[in-house]
Amino acid sequence: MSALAKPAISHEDDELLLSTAEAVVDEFFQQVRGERLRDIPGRSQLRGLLGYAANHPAQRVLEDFIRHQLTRAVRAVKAAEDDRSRVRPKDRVAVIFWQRLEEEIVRGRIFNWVEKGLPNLPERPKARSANTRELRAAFNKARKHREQLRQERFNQAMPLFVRHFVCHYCYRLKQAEIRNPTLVATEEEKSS
Amino acid sequence: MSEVQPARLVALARLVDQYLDQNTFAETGRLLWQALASGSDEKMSQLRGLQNVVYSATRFSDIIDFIKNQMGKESSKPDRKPRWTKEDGGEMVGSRLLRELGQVRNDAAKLAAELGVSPDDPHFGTFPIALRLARGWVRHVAAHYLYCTAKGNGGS
Repeated sequence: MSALAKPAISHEDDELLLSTAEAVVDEFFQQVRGERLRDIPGRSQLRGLLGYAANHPAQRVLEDFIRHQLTRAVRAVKAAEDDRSRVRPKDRVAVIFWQRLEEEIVRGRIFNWVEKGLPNLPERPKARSANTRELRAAFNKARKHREQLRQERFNQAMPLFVRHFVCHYCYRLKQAEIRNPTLVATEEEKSS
Repeated sequence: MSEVQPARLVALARLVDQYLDQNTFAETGRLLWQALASGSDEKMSQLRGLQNVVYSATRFSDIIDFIKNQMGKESSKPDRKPRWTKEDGGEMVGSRLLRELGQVRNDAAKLAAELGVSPDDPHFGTFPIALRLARGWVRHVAAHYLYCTAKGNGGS
C-alpha cells in the first residue's frame, strides 16, 4: 500500500465529521446566546473530554464521560426542582449541552455515519425451517461481525469528532468572550 | 484506487505553481506578523508552530483545528495582548486564516476538476491538492512574515 493510500477515515469522511462538529457547536451557541453564555461549560471541561477521547474507546467516552456529565447535570436540576429552589442556570445549560452532544453521537449524524459503512444483515432465519440451526449460526456470525465493525468505526470517528468539536467550541467561546466580555465568567470565577 | 501518473503529477505541480503565483497572501503575512510578533520578544515560535502543522498535516482539518485551538486558548485577562484573536478591520487574524484556508480548499476542488480527476481521488483529489496548496500558502505567509520581521515595522 502506498503512503498516500486511503486512510481509515477518508478526507471526505473527516470533512463530514468536521462540519457535524461545527454545526453542533454553532447550534448550541445559538441556543445559549445572551446572558446564559456565562453558564456554559468551560474550556477545562472540554479539554478533559478531549484527553479522554484520545485515550479511551468510543463507548467508554460516551458512557463514562458524556453520559456521566449529563447524569450529574440532570440530577442537579432535579434536586433543585424537588427542593423548590431555583435551578442554577449553569446546570440547566449543562443538561442542554451534554444532551445535545449525546444525541448527535447515538442518534444523529455520527450514528448515521457509523451505520452507513456497515454491511446489511442477512434476513433473520424463520423458526422451524429446514436448516434452522445452520442459518441461525450464520446469522449470529454476521451479526457479531457487524457489531465488531460498528465498534471499529465508532472508535475511529470518536477521537476525530471530539477533537473537531472541542477546537471549534473553544474558538466559538473565545469569539463570544470578545464580543460580550461582561457576560462570560472567567475560568477562576467558574471554579470558585 | 488510482495510481500516481507522472504526467498528471507534472500537470498538478504546474497548476499549483500557477495558483501560488496568482495568490501571494502578502497581506496575511503582514497581519500575522502584526498580531504575533509586533512588540513581542517571542517572534518566531507561533509561526514555526503553524508551519510545522501545515507541513506535517495528513488531513486538512489538522490545520483548521490548530488555528481554532490557538485562538481558543488565548487568555481573556485584560493585561494579555491578543495574538491570534487580534482584530484588524473587524476580523480576527485567526479567522482570516480560516477564511483563506476555506478558499484554498474550494480552489483545490476547482483544480481537481481542471485535472479531470474524481474529487475523492487519493492522489489528485480535492484534499491532497488542498494540502499541497496549504503548504504553498504557509510558505508565502511565512516569507512575508519574516520580511516584516526583518524590516521591523510591518510595512509592505
